[in-house]
Amino acid sequence: MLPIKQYFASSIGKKQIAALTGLMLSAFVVIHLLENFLLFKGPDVFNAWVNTLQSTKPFLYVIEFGLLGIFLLHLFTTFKIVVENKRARKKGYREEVATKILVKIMPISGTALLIFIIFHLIDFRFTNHHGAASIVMGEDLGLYGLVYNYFQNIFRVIGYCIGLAALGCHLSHAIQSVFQTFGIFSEKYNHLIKKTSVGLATGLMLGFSAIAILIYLGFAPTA
Amino acid sequence: MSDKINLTLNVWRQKSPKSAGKFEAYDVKNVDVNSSFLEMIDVLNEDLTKKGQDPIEFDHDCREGICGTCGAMVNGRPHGPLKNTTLCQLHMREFKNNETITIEPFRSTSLPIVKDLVVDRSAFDNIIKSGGFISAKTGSGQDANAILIPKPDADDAFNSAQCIGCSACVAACPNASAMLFVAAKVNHLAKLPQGQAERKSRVKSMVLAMDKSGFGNCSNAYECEAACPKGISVANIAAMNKDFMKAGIFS
Ligand code: HEM
Ligand code: FES
Repeated sequence: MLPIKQYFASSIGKKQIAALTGLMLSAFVVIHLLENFLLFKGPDVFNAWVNTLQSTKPFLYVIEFGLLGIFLLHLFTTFKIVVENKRARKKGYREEVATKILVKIMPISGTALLIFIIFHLIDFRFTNHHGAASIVMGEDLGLYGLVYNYFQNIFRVIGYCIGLAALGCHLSHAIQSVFQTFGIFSEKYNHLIKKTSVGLATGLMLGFSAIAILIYLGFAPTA
Repeated sequence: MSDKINLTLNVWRQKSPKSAGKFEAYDVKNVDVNSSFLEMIDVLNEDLTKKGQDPIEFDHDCREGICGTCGAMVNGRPHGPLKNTTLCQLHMREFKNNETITIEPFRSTSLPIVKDLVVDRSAFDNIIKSGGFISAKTGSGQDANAILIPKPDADDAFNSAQCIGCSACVAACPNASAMLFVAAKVNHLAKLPQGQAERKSRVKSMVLAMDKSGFGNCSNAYECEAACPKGISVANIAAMNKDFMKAGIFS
C-alpha cells in the first residue's frame, strides 16, 4: 500500500484518475446519445422522458453534481499531466518525432470539448425549457421545441458538429488508452480494443451530428 | 566494393550544459557506405581536429549494440531510421548521396545535455538504485536447475531484460516519459521467481523515483516502442501499471 494521496499524485495514479473519470464521462455520453434518439419519437415521447428525469429531483441534482465533480476531476488531472509533460522537455527537436496526431492533440481536442460543453450547457441546460424559444408552430413544445428551434440555424448545426468532431478525436485515442492505463494488454485482443475505441468514438460523433442535421433537414416530427 | 557518398550534416553543437547551443552545418565528402554512423563522425572529427576545431562530442562504448551508451536523434528518429538498431550499428548505406542529415541530442529535462550529443543519464541510474535489483547473499552461484522457471516466463523476462538503458524511449516520447525503460526493468524481475520477494516494494519505489526525476507522464502514444533498438514492447508498461496498482492500492 501507498498512502492514497501519494498514490494518486504518482504519474500512474494520475493517469488512472484521468482514465477512470474519462471512462465515466464516456458512459454518460453514450447514455446521452440514446436519450437524444428519442427526439425522433416526437415531442410527446421525448418530453415524457424529460419529465421522468425531472420527477426524480432531488436525486437528479445528485447525478448532475456527481457528473460535474467527475468532469472537474478529469479537467484538473489532465491539466496537471499536460503541464508536467511540457516541463519534461522544455526545448523541442528541430525534426520532431512523428507522433500519432490524435495523441498529440489530446489537450487541444480536450480544450475544444470544454468550450463546446460550456456553450452546450448554456444553450440547453440553463436556458428556460418553456417560453418563446420552445414554440413550434404556435405550440410550446418544451425542451423538445427548444432543441428543434435551435437546430433550424445552419451555423448552430455546424458549430455543434465541430464540437462533436472534437469528441470523436478525443475518444478515438482515449478509450483504447484506458485499457493500457489499467494494465489490460493482450496481443490477441489489442486490435479489437483499438477498433472498438475508434468505432465507438466515430459512432458517437456521427450519431449526435446526424440528429442535429436531420432536425435541420426537417426529419424530426413536430407533433 | 565500397561506394562513397557525400553528405551534409546539421549537428547540434553545445559547449556546456548551460550554454545555448546551435546547429552547425558540415559537408562530409567520400563517406564509405560500409562505415557505421559513428565511424562517419569519427572521420569528420579527425578533420575538425586537424583544422583546430572542437570535435563533435558523442557517447559510445561497445559499438556493437549492447551497452546502451550511444544514441542521438537522426532526422527526427532516435538511433536513426533503421528499426531495432542502435546508432553504432547503423551503417551509412542507409543514406542517399547528397542527403542532408539532422543530428540532435536526445532531449529531456531529466537527462540534460552535457555537451553536443552527450546526455547525462544519471536519472536512469537513480531509478535502478531505487529498486532495480534483487537482494541476494553473495557467494557461489547455486545450481541453475534448483529454481525451475516456465519457458514462457523465462522468455518474457529475457525480452524485458534486453533493455540497454539507452534512453531512446525518453527521447522519442512526446512527453519525455521514461515508462518503457522503468517498465522493462520492473517486468524483467517481476517475471522471475527471484524477483518476487521485493516485487511490490520494487515497483513502488522505482515508479516514485521515476516521478521524482521529472520525467513526463505516459500518454500511450507508443513512440517509445517504435524507437526502441531492442524492440521492448509496451506490454511491459501495461504490466507495470497493473503491478503498481496492485502494490499501491490492493496490498
Ligand atoms: C465528455 C468529455 C470528456 C470525455 C468523455 C473524456 C474522456 C477521456 C478519456 C477516456 C481519456 C483517457 C485517459 C487515458 O489516457 O487513459 C481522456 C484523456 C484526456 N483528456 Fe479527456 N475527456 C473529456 C473531456 C476533456 C476535457 C474537457 C479536457 C480538457 C480541457 C480533456 C483533456 C484530456 C487530456 C489532455 C487527456 C490525455 C491525458 C494523457 O495524455 O494521459 N478531456 N479523456
Ligand atoms: S555503443 Fe554500445 S550500444 Fe552503441
